[in-house]
Amino acid sequence: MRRDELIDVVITSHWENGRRNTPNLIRVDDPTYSYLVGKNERGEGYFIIWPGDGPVGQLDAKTYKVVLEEGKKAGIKPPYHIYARYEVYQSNNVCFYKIPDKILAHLGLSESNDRYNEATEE
Amino acid sequence: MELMPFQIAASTQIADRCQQYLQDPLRVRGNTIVPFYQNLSAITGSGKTLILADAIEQIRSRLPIEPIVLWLSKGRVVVWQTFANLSTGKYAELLGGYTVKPLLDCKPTDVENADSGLVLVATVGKFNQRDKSEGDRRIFQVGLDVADQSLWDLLKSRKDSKGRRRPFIVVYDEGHNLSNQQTNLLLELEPDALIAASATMKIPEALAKTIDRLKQDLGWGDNELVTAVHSSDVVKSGLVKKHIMLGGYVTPMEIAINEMISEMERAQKAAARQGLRFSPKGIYVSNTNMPDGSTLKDDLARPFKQRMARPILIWRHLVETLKVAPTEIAVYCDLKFDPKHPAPAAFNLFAGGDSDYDRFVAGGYKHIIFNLSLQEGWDDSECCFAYIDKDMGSPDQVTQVIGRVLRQPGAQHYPAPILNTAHFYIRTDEKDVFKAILEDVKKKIAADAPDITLSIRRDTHGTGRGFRPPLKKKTVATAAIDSTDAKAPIKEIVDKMIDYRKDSVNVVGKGGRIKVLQDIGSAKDAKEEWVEVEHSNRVTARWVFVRAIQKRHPKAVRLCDIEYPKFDAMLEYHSIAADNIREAADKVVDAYINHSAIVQNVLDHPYEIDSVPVDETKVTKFTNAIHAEYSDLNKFEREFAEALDKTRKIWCRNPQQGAFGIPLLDKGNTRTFNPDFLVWTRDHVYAIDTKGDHLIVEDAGRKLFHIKKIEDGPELVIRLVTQGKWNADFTKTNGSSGYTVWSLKQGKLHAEHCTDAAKAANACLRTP
Repeated sequence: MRRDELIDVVITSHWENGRRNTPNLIRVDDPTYSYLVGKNERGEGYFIIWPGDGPVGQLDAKTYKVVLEEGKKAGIKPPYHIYARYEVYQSNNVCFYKIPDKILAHLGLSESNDRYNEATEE
Repeated sequence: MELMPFQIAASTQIADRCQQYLQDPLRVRGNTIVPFYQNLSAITGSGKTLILADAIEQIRSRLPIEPIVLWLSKGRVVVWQTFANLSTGKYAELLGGYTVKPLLDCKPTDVENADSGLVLVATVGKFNQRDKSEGDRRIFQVGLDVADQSLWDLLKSRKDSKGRRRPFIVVYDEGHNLSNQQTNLLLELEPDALIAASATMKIPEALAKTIDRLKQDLGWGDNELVTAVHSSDVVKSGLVKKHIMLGGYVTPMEIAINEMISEMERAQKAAARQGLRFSPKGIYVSNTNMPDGSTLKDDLARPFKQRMARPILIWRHLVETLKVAPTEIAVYCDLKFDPKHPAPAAFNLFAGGDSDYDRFVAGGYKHIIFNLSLQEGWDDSECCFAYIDKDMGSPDQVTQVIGRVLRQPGAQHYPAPILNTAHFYIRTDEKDVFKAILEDVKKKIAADAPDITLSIRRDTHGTGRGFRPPLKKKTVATAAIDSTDAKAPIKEIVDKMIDYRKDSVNVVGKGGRIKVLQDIGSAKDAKEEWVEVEHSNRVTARWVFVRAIQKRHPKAVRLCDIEYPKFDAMLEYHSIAADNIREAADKVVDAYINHSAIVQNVLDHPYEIDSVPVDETKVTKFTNAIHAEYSDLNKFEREFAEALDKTRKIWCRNPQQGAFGIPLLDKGNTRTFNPDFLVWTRDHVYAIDTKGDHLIVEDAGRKLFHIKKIEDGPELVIRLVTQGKWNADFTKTNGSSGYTVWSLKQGKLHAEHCTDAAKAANACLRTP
């Protein structure tokens, strides 16, 4: 999956626990942000830690600092919703979503019964 | 939805017990067994549905044949919500092994086809007919377009295509509402297990026989019949509110409501200040068609403005005096109007029609005037305020309303206590009535949720405030967990895990055989017989692994590559493979705990001291504290607080289950440490916790640690204080007085004895 495809999935399939009738996220399309990709109607920010063309990154002290800076610039307050491969830095100001697991769950796969990978893949 | 450890503990216990029972169940006669029974006892807001959903998924993983679950909820309105949540909504992820259908849509093929579990969602309202044939026929007979066998019989025989009888589990949310007739009807289906959830252990009489058998023949007591969720875990998790504040008003309705509205405005401002977009809602509970103080019905023939019905008066006060927009107010009760004198167009009345509930929920109203009996089952986590009108304020009703406002918005506690509080404004005729209500609420809270603090508004004539605002602006760095060093050891453990995808031996279950009824012989002279089945329904390695980690430290999962193809392996719950996976999960959690560190970060939205709730009947005033006074101090804490006050440093009391918390990395049950006091000096913030003697041995290890600073700013330092003279090896001198201050010196535990509280306070604040 490419970065922009992933952003599409996050923006369109994200729903919040316990909030009915919640509209989808509003996409933030500003290249000056490295990680910020969307906002919800409460003004909370959605971030994907995926720098440039490399692999999906991790939320650590370094990337979280960038999130904090971007949050400040965009006028976003916590909790920060962050998608990344690992949550190495764990702050209570963050709602974390693991890539690819959370994305697969967004797409309807179940942890208990579905294979995440093609059966032939080793 | 991610499960919390206490939720997994509860669902696992239910599943374990069910499996164990079904291996050797009690018999009634012939092939009928006494069903397994379990009551999940948990307070409102603890995630009962979530626990039940996970319990049936876990039970499924331990059964030899895919089960059928009849999932019952009470109200017709709630059942559709439940169906949506289980089939496609927030609980669907947990029920991956099940197909979810409304009961009426169940067709014989659904029962015959045992490729996956089947959840049938229904409401008990539809079962409540003594005579099945005269009841709502749609329920007791399948439709015309289906085979002519009734649904009832279908569920009773529940044979799959191989003639095996599928396990049948009845799950009932709000179990205390089961009537005898309903229970008898359910028992006629010969279920294998009954799982009910309720806060009270009230059992319908019809179930007494079942429970008596379990008690007498198996020696079960409450311990075995009930899976209890500790309310302290629920409160700590942030799922429910931390405080309940009660005010009794012997005044007209208007004064009580005025005060509630002004407090709601304060709460809204606090929410806005924190950047929270939810806005606290208020409910108004009153009689419907009775005027105040009268047993006569309100006269419908009068024009709206002359009507005396309580909901109308409350609505008019909100709209006409307090200038609340009518679009924000819903009136949800069976209020009558004469066609000649209809309600104003802006009056949003929901009188209980079928589509009303959806319309009501979609409306997002901020003020809801209702009559309890109409909307059982409705609750909204944004409800933080409740006005209870005279005549509604019986102790019983008040405790019922508490359940309605207990859920915490956003399922997390906020720094502002006003947002973690359920506020009650109770109007009564006499002070004694309020006292009786108070006693009852106290009893109920003490029994159900002792961790929720209760405070009382003393002055209820317009000036009373249950909170003390901060007098100075002070912040503390946010503490977080940095697992940088845990990543490599965790990766090593995960990488070494065996790939069981092509294994056909180790993925097979051992022991734990469950018997199933199966048709033996040809169709003509088939005979039902018990057949022992060794295998259980398979689940993914991923599910076993994630579940095992979540049970101990959920965040450790977020460092694991659980998307690896090897986690796709399908295996049985009691297989060697599953055991190995659980062992690896334990190692992952150990590595996570051992190699992670607590860090402090002033850039990560430092915690700003907010107002504190006080019980106005027992306050102590202070001079240098951030708040003018505190109320929840015990004797030891008060002595120490007075000594802190005399150091002339700025300090504050951090409320119990406090506002400011430091994450803990250990195997203990609590994941957050809320120090009693915070003290500011130029370069440091001291987090000081006073400790009872019995806790110091454990807590010196758990709560006294160095917090690494990752950005420039004042440094957060932890100190513990005990009474008497202690040595660093935890021996206390008998009969000693004074205090001991515990700190870390060069990474080692250091105990310093001080003869009085003043010296102890100064020792705590010594630069490390």
